[in-house]
Amino acid sequence: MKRIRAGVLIAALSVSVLAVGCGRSGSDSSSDTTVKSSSSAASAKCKDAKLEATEIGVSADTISVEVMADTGSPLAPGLFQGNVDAMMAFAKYVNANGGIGCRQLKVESWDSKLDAAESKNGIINACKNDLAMVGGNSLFNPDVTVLGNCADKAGQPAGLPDFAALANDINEQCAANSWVLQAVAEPCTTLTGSRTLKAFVGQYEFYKTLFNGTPMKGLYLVPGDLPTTVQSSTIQIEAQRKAGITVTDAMKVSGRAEQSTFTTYVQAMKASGDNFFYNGSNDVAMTKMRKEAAAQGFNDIKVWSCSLACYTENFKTGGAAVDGTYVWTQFIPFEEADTNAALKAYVDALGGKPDSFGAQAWQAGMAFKKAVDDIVAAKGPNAITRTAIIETMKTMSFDADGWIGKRSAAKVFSDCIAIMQFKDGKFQRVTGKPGTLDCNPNYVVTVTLDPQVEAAKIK
Amino acid sequence: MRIKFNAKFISAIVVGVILAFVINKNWGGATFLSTKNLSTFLVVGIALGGIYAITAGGLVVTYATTGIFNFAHAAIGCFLAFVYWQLSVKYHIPTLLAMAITLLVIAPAIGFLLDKVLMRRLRDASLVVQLMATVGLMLTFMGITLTVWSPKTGRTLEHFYEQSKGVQLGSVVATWHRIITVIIALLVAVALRWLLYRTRLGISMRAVVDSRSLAGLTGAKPSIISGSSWALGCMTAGLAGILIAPETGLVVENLALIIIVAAAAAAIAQLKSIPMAFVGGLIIGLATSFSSTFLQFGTDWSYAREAIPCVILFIALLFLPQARLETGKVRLTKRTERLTKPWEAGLGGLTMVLIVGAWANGWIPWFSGTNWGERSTVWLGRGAGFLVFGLIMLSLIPLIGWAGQVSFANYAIAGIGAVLFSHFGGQDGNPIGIVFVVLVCAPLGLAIALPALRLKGLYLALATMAFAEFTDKVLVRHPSMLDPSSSGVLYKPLRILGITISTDAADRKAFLMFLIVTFALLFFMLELLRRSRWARRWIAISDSPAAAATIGINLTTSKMAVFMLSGAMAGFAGCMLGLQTGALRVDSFPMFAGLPIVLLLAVQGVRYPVAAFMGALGLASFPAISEVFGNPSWLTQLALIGPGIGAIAMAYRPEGAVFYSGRDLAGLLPWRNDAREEKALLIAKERAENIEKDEINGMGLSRPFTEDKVAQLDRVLSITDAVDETKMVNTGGHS
Amino acid sequence: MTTILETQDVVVRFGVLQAVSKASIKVETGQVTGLIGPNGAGKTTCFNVITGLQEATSGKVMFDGKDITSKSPFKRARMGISRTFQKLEVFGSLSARENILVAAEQRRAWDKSGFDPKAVCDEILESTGLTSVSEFMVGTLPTGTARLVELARALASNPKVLLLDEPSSGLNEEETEEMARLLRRLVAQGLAVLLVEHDMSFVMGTCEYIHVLDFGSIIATGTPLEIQANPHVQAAYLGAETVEEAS
Repeated sequence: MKRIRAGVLIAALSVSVLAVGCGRSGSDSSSDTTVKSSSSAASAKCKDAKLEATEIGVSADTISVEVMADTGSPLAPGLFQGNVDAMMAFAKYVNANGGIGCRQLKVESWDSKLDAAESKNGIINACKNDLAMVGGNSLFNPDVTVLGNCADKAGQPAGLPDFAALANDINEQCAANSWVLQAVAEPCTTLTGSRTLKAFVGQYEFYKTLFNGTPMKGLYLVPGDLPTTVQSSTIQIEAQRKAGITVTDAMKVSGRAEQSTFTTYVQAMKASGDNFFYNGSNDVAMTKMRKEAAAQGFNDIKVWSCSLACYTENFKTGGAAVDGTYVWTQFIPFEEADTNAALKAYVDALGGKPDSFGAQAWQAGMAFKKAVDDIVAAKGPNAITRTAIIETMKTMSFDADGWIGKRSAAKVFSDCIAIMQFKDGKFQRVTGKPGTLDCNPNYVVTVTLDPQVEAAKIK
Repeated sequence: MRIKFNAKFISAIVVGVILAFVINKNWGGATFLSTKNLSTFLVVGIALGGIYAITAGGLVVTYATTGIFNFAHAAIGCFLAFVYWQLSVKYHIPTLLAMAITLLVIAPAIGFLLDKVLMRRLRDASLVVQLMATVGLMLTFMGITLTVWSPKTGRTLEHFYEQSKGVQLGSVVATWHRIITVIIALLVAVALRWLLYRTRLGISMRAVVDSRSLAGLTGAKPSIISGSSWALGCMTAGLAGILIAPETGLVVENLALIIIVAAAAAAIAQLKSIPMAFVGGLIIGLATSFSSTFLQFGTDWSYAREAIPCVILFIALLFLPQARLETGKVRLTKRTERLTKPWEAGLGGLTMVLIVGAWANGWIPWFSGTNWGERSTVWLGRGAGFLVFGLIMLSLIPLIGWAGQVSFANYAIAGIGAVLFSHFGGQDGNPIGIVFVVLVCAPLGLAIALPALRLKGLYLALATMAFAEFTDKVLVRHPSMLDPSSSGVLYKPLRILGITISTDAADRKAFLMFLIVTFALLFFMLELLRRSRWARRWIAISDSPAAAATIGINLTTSKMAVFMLSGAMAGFAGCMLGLQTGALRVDSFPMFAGLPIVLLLAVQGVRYPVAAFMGALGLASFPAISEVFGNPSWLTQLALIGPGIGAIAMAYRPEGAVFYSGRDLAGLLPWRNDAREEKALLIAKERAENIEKDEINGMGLSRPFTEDKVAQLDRVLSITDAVDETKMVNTGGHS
Repeated sequence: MTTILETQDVVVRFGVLQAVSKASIKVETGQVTGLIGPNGAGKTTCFNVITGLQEATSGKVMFDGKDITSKSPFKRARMGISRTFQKLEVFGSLSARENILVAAEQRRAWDKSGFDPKAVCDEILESTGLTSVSEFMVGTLPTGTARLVELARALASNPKVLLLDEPSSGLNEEETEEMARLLRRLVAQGLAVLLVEHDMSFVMGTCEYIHVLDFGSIIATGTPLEIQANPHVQAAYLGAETVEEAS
């Protein structure tokens, strides 16, 4: 029986800092038509086809995929249930709108239970029964060898395609057959020592405009429950420095910390004369931080900022205490559902109750569908095999019909962002126009450091 | 003034030196004597301390008035905090009224219910059953809370007077809520002490713990008294929960796990003194805030801060008085047991191998999704996992079942074994590594118990919990144990006796068979061991420590031996655990993960090796049933509440399911008249005992509980306390 | 006959209560010594001090000429002191045979004469008349039989001094007489016995020498006849009025 610490959840949410990229503002038409045209070309091919069972998970009338997520840990029940719910809803949506590859989509779910063995079992199960893994989120997934050597219908070790919504484990991120929506900071060639890593700094460029030339000095709150989350934070901290922000302190916070312990962070900010705060941890930590700062009468912070982790219904319940907090996403916010068809389809399918995990799962589903559609458009509905999908993955580029920025197999950072501020009980857009994302190649930078060494310096 | 140079004095010096060294080495560079730092340290420390003090106070008062250490204390408080939230935030009931309903109506109701249904049966039960039942109760309350209030939505409980500015102390503001918490903690401590020592109710409560019949004879009505004790316990738990929840957030995990800190503070109070519980809570709060203000631990020990409560618990244990050898544990429970003969044990082991072998080859039809003749890879892997837990359960049988030493540390030992194996042997697939791990884990098992070997069984249990927590937070996280950068599979395939062991699909069946054969061999060994003089000695120690000493048994060395055996077996299980999971993370061995293993074994029967096999089957049943029903989510909720309820049911079936079903099954066999007769005898005897208990419980109604009766009880109690404090002859340097 | 066990001015204080005040008791080999007194007089406390289960506030315990006051209980047992308990302290989860066997096996820690524990065990089962119940779990046996098992277990250690705490409690007339006979046999072989009892006829009939405890102090010592005639003893058992009546 595994116990999850809130810190593990923070791990998930903090890594989702590297979430989906964005579409170009305004100039989406070409990508739109590419998507639409392959989809309509695909449906044209369906009319006269005589369908066969061409692969494991592909029968004459269904395509089966597996969504693997941590949903059943007894102490954090339903942790990533959002992924499963979204994939089920996606299947329903797809089947009601012409199906996929001329067939119906069937989704089976697998609970990886925050357990390495069950994660591996999930991959083995998908290898045996499904065409691909789609929309998953398993925090502890260290052994992905089966993704590489899974036997296809013909008995060849073709591998198993994995369209993960979120791949937190570095092994899954760097696996050859995984197509991740988020970016991967690591070069994947070397994973130790001093190396060059990528980081996204779009949010800082915006915050700098709020300061209008005044130097930014700030505290970075590091999620401290796992060494991996501490190390990934060091990359962000370095990126902040590169963006011109003085990081006066980087301090660890535990998911279980009482609010009194946040007094220490307030004291540190007071002592350094900080005017900026960045929360690398979760929404609960942000709420406690703001409440404690208020209790201590500390009002010098001009910008309270958080990542995607604060873009939740939970955070909203903080109410006036967290008013003014900035959050950022790399997809079009749910509040702007009416501006994008794909986003609207998702929000409607979930009965108006979207969440970022589910959104990413849906996007992964769309990416998978695109791969299938591309194959059908090129070679017909009986060409759907794992090999074909893996081939397509390598060259496919995808932006969820404008909902997110362009993604590709390169797993690089998208350079798009949407920034919101929580004001008067709602998340309100502060950058760019609703329905668009603000994109700029300068938003992605490289930093060189040894995360393990830097992690040691964090208090 | 002559200072006695005894063990305690030396311990104090040693501890002081070590602390000074640790503080010096990890000094963060902040100036100690600055108003800013001092005020931060003190205000934060006292605020935290207030929280811990309230919980610890309630825990101590429960123990003092019921004789039972209630592991569920914080979990009950958590539940009540959610109830309060439901009333005050969801239903918009005014604060004071909501508090009154929660604390004066619902909390006592829960207390009386718990007493009637569960606690009365626990009073006379063995320590194992008491601990299992309260741990099970904790899991049940946590499960119920998670089910009723799904964690997916966030809930906040406002601080009291959140909008008002607090009090400026130095450079820190002490918020009103925290000030109130500390003051209430202090008031509660004072009030409880006054209640227990100066009022009729309190004295009766304490008397009922020490001698129920005496209390009844002098006019206190034991059944109402004990119900009141539990009501009081729940009320203090609820008060603590309501005050703490705004600080920690309404998160089940945060609230229920405060029990660890509360236990440490209660240990400082030596489970007796409520004022000391208050002080203990403050000490831990101040120690925590001291470390966050002034200390900075390097990466190697970066989680050391979280281990502060369990280290304090260890230190507190060093200063506890040595326990007198217990007498009066004999319960003539009228049951017969035949020693298993070697051929029977061999047959049993063989049967286990055959069952698992048949299952692994798919010859036993399963409920769903199997191809006849082929067990799926996934289930083969899971089967191996269940057997590994079965191996850990086997390691507990001599320790808890025979020697009566309750330990929660074996999962942690297995974890350390897994980690060690990843370095020695795991890197080159060499089975010699297993031998090495076993040789290290044996003395490790002993080392854990050393501080508590001469203490009451309860303290030993707490010490093992503290060790498990320490392992999770500090030991396993040291970079030389688990490299934080390492990821992926830690073990090369192991080649042993011609088979390859790994998590790969092709190797799983062989691994499973290897495990069941090993399990059967260990099972056989344990059955043989039960017939040996070692087991007899351990059982003697468990049944009557005093008598065991008087026939010349050196309790200390005997206990050391069983801890080493248990540690060795757990270490072996750890190697297998590592191989079965393939990958480890720093948070792979939380203390709480080890509790259900002990629970499941105890529910089956902690004295019987076959119960480990039944326990493994029990573990398998959850996912199996889940698969039959298509993995519904409500079953996950049950997964948490289930073991809890099973453990509570132990109060009614303290010998374990194996014993009762063995006896019942034997009764079905036509030639086992003796089994049927004995069962009838036992039922009749229980009935007679219950009548007797009811009589005692109901006593006192018609007798006036006069002042001098109260004084009499008080005097007896103070003498009993003094008796507890006088020592047995010190076995210190002379044993 | 030598003094094998002796307490010298033992005092035991529990807070305000003085449970035992300057008790000096002598036990001789080859003799049954009685320790009697009303309830709460401190008899079991004396036993606990002698066997090491209770620390004396002051005073000494001498065994075989050696000062054992600071020796731990198991060490004293290994020197040759055995006891039974007022409230049964049998090993309820073991059979009668195993109870005795544990003690016999443990004896090998200090008795290197190469005896066979199993043979010793069978012998003792015979001499105490327990052979028929030897395989039963002691928890299932009636109290009287269980007491016998406890006695048998104490004997298995081959002690030099045997302390018996109310051994006839729960036994009927016949069983009590059996036990008295057994004690006489053992004592004749050189064993020293210290006996706490309430059954006066058993005490007077079996003991050669008696100490009387009341409120923690020895108020009389002597032969059974002397004790019976002692007015203080009568007063202690029957109340102060009797003394006044007698004087």
